[in-house]
Amino acid sequence: MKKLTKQEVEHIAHLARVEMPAGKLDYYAEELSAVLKYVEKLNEVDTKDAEPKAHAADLASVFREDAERSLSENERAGAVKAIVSRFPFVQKNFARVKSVFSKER
Amino acid sequence: MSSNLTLKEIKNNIQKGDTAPSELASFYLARIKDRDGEIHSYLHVAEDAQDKAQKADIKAGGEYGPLFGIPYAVKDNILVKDMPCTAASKILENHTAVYNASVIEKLSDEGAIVLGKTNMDEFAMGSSTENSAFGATKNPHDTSRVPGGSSGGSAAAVAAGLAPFALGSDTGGSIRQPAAFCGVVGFKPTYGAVSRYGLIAMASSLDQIGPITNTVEDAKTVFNFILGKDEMDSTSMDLGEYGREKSPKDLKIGIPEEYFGDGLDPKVKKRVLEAVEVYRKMGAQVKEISMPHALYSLAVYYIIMPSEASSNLARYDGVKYGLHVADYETQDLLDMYLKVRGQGFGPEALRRVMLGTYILSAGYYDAYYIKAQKVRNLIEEDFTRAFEDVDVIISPTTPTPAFKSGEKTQDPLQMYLSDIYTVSANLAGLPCVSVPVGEVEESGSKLPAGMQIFAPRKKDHFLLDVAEWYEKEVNGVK
Repeated sequence: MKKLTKQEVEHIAHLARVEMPAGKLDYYAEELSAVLKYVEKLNEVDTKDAEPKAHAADLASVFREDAERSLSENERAGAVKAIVSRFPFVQKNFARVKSVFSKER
Repeated sequence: MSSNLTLKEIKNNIQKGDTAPSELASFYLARIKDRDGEIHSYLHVAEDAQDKAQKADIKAGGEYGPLFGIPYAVKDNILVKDMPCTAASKILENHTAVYNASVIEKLSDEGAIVLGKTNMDEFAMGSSTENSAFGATKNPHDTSRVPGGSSGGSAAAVAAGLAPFALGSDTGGSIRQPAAFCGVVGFKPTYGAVSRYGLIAMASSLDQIGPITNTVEDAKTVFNFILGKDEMDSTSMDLGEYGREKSPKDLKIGIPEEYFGDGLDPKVKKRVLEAVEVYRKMGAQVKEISMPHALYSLAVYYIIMPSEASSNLARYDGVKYGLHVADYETQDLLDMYLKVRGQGFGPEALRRVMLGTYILSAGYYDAYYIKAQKVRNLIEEDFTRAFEDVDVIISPTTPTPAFKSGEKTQDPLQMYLSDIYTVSANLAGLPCVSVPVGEVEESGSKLPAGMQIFAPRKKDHFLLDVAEWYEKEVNGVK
């Protein structure tokens, strides 16, 4: 069976964009490996003739008119205010973020 | 006033002028104040419920529907405008919703009043409501035990008489399992029957909103007002016409052997089979069936759900809303993502996000994800085949009654196994309702047990009729 190493967990955590304290790597390696071991029981199932299924809904593609939904001036201002008020860091009506590239990296 | 009135009884009281909506609101607000310290079913109590109810008082006397003036509780992953909405996660600790979920709009249009937001496992990930970042909820039948999860706050609130009804969400059993543990009715509609617009997404191909109520009749009432196609959710749909198709005499019930095997508590099994016997006495035919892939459902679920969850939870990045860390603590954008998400997500959310990330990564995608999707198809085919022969399928909702708080928190896999019977309905998109079938004795406590009834897709109304036949036969017609 597949047992994840500390290094693999560190890599997965980084891909998932979560900072993982070094002291927790063993714990998650155990936990994740246990679940992976459990799901391996699917290998008992013969799926030669089975199609993969992504969704239980019988859906066709759903399209709508590519039309602007108009809001009144007031509604628009209200919506902007509501959204901007949730930004952790604001500059005018924009969310401010740290630089994407840093010198140290 | 009694705390276990059905919605119909409450409506009658309002209609007759015996109870004003504002009295109703103050009754429940007072009960919450009095009892919820122990249960902790609410994360947020809506203090404005009283004002809204007073406005309803003025309108009372006119023509109105069955939910007019009735207060209700909402799981904290469903958006109610200007109310806190945390999904029980630290990453959304101070977040308030910008808009109403479609279900909330619909219930507001009927005059129902939000009492508050209920506790849950973080991002609906869990089966005990112990994964809440804001403290666990207790089972009202025995406060040393869990209420189930992830809609544990909603189920406990209804069971403790702290709300006449509640909304929950069900991705792998999160409405039905806590309903069974708390002795109330929990209904997961057909996938798409109720709009998910405004529900914080966990696994989008599995999530569904539904009611938690005291009776099946109440579940019908609430369901009738939240169902239907919504242009804001492109997976939503109308169920179509329903004529009363059958009576108990021509009902065919399937009993799948796989759901009654090893791991099922014999006391729970006994209660469920007694309930099946009630149907048989009403004239229904009962036959044993086999669903060969049923017990693979949980393994499929633990591949598909974390995969979808890991992408849905990518949006919590500390940029647009939610938890953030001070500027001076981070050196660049990536560093900020890592810190916000590392500090904001609890252990179960982290587990699932990482599991999903791993499963979807290059080299593992086919082995895990595609394999799971194929078995998902086989599980659905099992149901399709079974429904050629029977009208509904009955199984236990859970393998055991409510377990002790802390009993499974150290062993996630044991915790996952409490959903072993419920996840298949989500994978196949079927409607499924959990109905209380009496109590079992467990180390001196009397604990509720539940049966779940499955029906074919879009047969939600029929399913609820079938459930109601049992309820009326056992409780007498109210």
